[in-house]
Formats: sequence, C-alpha cells, structure tokens
Amino acid sequence: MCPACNGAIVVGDKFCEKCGAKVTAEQEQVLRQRLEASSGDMAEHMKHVNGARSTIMVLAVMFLIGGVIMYFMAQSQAETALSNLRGLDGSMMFPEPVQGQTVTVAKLREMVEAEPRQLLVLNIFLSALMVGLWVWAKKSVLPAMLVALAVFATVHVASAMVDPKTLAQGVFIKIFATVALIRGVRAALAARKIETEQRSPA
Amino acid sequence: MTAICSSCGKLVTAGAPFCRSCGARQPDPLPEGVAPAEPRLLPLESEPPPSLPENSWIGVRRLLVLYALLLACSALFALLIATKAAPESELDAYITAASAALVTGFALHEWRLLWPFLDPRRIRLSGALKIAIGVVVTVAVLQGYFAGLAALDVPTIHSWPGFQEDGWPLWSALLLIAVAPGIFEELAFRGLIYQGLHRVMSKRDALLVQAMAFSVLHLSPWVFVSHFLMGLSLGLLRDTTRSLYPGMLAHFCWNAWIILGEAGLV
Repeated sequence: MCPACNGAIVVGDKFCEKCGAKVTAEQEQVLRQRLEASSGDMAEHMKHVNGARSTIMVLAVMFLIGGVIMYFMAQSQAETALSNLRGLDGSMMFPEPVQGQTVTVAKLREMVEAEPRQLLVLNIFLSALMVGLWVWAKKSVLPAMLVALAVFATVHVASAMVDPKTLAQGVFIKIFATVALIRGVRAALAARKIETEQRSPA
Repeated sequence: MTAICSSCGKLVTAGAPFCRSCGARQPDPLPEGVAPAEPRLLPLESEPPPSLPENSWIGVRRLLVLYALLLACSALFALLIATKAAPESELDAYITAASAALVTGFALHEWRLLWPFLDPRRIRLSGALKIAIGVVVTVAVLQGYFAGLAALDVPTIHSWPGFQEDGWPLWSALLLIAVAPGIFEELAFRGLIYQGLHRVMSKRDALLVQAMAFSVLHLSPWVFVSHFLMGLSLGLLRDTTRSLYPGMLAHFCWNAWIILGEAGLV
C-alpha cells in the first residue's frame, strides 16, 4: 500500500502509479521481503537472476585475465616468428600469402609485432563491455543478460575459427557461464510473470 | 493491460495516472473510439499475445536458437573458406542460401509477428525529414569511421575481388552481398529478433539488444562499432516508417555502394 494514497504498489515500482509519490527504500525492502516470503519460487528466481548478473562480472574479469595471458603468449610467439624472419630482406615478397594477401617481409614484420597488442586491446574492450553490461543489468537485467550471452557465444565461435584449439580451453567455465546466463534469462522471465500476476490478480 | 510511459518508455499499467518507474504524469487516457494522434500506447501489431506470460521463455528460446543457427552459418562459412573446399564465391552462395532458408523458415513460423511490418499498406512515410537526417548522419559517421580505419591501415574485408577472381559477374556479387542480406538480415534482426524481444522488454532495450546482436554476428572486432550504429539506425528507421521495406532498401543501398566502390564503378 502506498502510504500517501493507499494505492497498490508492487516490488520494482519506484513511484506510486496512483499518486506519483516516491517509493522509499524501506518500503521497497518490506515489499520484497513480503513477496519472497509469500512465494518461495520468487526467492529461487531472484537467486538465479543475481547469479547470472554476477556471472557477467566473472566474464569481465576472465576476459581481462585471459587477455593479459594471451598477450604474453602472443608476444613470445611473435618473437619466434620475428627471429625466423631475421635473415630475410625487408623489401622481398613473403612467399606465402598472409591473411589472403601477398605482403613484403617488412610489412609482415609490422603485422607480427602489432598482433599481441591488438589481441590485448580487443580483450580489454570485451572486458569493459561486460562491466558495462553488468551495470546495465542493475537497471534492466533481461536485455543485459541476452547481450552478454550473445557476445560470449560469438567471441568463442570467432576465436575457434581463428584457432580451433581455443574451443577446448576453459571449457568448464564456458559451460558454467552459459548455463548460468540461460538460467538467469529464464528466471527473470518467470519472476516477471509472478510480478504481473501480482499486479492483476484476475 | 500495459502501456508505455510517455517519459521513460518503460511499461506502465494502462490508464494509471503516474509511471511506476520514473514518476512522470501520464497523459489522460483518451475516450473510447477516439484515435490517438500520436499513439504512445503499444501499437496494436506489437501487442503481446494474451497467452504470453506462460510461454515467454519459449519465445526467447526461439530467438536464441535463431541467433545460434545464424552464428553457426557464419562459422561454417569461415571454416569452409579455411579448408579451401570450393572457391570463396561458391561457398558464399551456399551459405547465403542456407541462412536465407533459415530466416524464411522462422519468418513463416512467426508470420503473425512480422506481417504488420510487411504489409505495404501500413508503411508510414510521414517522418521524411527525420528519416533524411538519420540517413545523412549515419552514412556520414560510417564513411568517416571506415576512412579512419583505412588511414590506420586496418585490414578490412573486401568481397568483390574474390568474385572477380572466380570469374563471377558483378550482378551475382550484388545479389549475394547486397540483395540477400538486405532482405534476410532485416527480416531476422529488425523483424523477428526486434519484435520478439519487444514482447518481453521495453522497446528501447529491444532496439539496443538487436543492434548488439546484429553487430557481433559480423564476427569482426573492427565493424563492431560501425554495425552497432547501423543496427540502431535501421531499427529506428523501422520504427519511424513502421515497415521493414525502407530498412531493406537502405541496407541494400549501403552494401551495393560498397561493392560498386570496390569494383571501381562509383
């Protein structure tokens, strides 16, 4: 009940629909507790939704750590590749096509040197994107989870195309994160259904 | 019954005097039988079906399956190119046909959802100025972005040279890279995904999610930014005209412009 006009308010409302009065944090807390007590399902759903939101943060940290590790791995690979190119003249054409293009050895050197940095920037970008989604999930959890799921799946498909071995790396974390996000989406939909029913008891 | 808040775009109970999300006063409900001038209520065609709460997960799951299959198509294409099983243009034709069939299948299954945006009688062109400004701004930003990438010496994907090498005519490249994506990407993203998401979330959130999905599906980190913008613009174009046809035309024009540019004809 809204303290100002006795209109009905439900969990998630920030303002009373009848009189426009602001719903305070304490009122919100009371409503939430009452709802969770009245329906064990709701508490269960909220657990999954919050779990999915934390998963987005876990993914952000994973991209950051993974990015740093990959940076150092790529750098040592680049050094090996550069030492293989050492004997060659810069203006010479490299005999095999690189990414579908024929390039000079000097150009290839530049490409090899730039690769670890590009990888790092990409992973930091993905990490920042996940942090952004985590923040967005506070406001609208369902769209944020769907985007996180799409980005996560796409990144792994894309990196598997570059190097199929990456598919097997951290496979348990991948499955865990995917399951947590899908569960979160389901739980968010179910929680909203309960809320809708609460609003219109018919 | 739900409606959309005129101030923040979140769902509100129809007829409630205030928004429960932002507290803004809602416009007075119109008397029965009077058509609203600028309807803030959900347009009839995007009204979720009454049985929605029970099967909203099924709807979302269907979208996830569609996305996963489109992703699998892209992945398969890249893998086949790597194995060099056939010339690139031939593979492109197969994959385009496969994704077209996929989208058509989903679209036929959900034709009720799509029909309002495909019925030519419902197209609305009154927002011509808005559309023109949107197109000019989008094209300018995209041109600037790609010019910047070129200046930074970032390798971008060129499709036409591959077709040329394999001796395919220009019209085949236009068909596969401009006409087919124009139709089927619009049907999939601005049609099925946007509309399907709008059933379970606010319009603004659905717009953002479909643009994100559209941009990451292109599987290239550099086009992530540009295609996100493209997805937003095409989504807004669909909203302004309430039809998928203008977006299809715009998408076709952009892709055709790129190919003709690569072929040195523009």
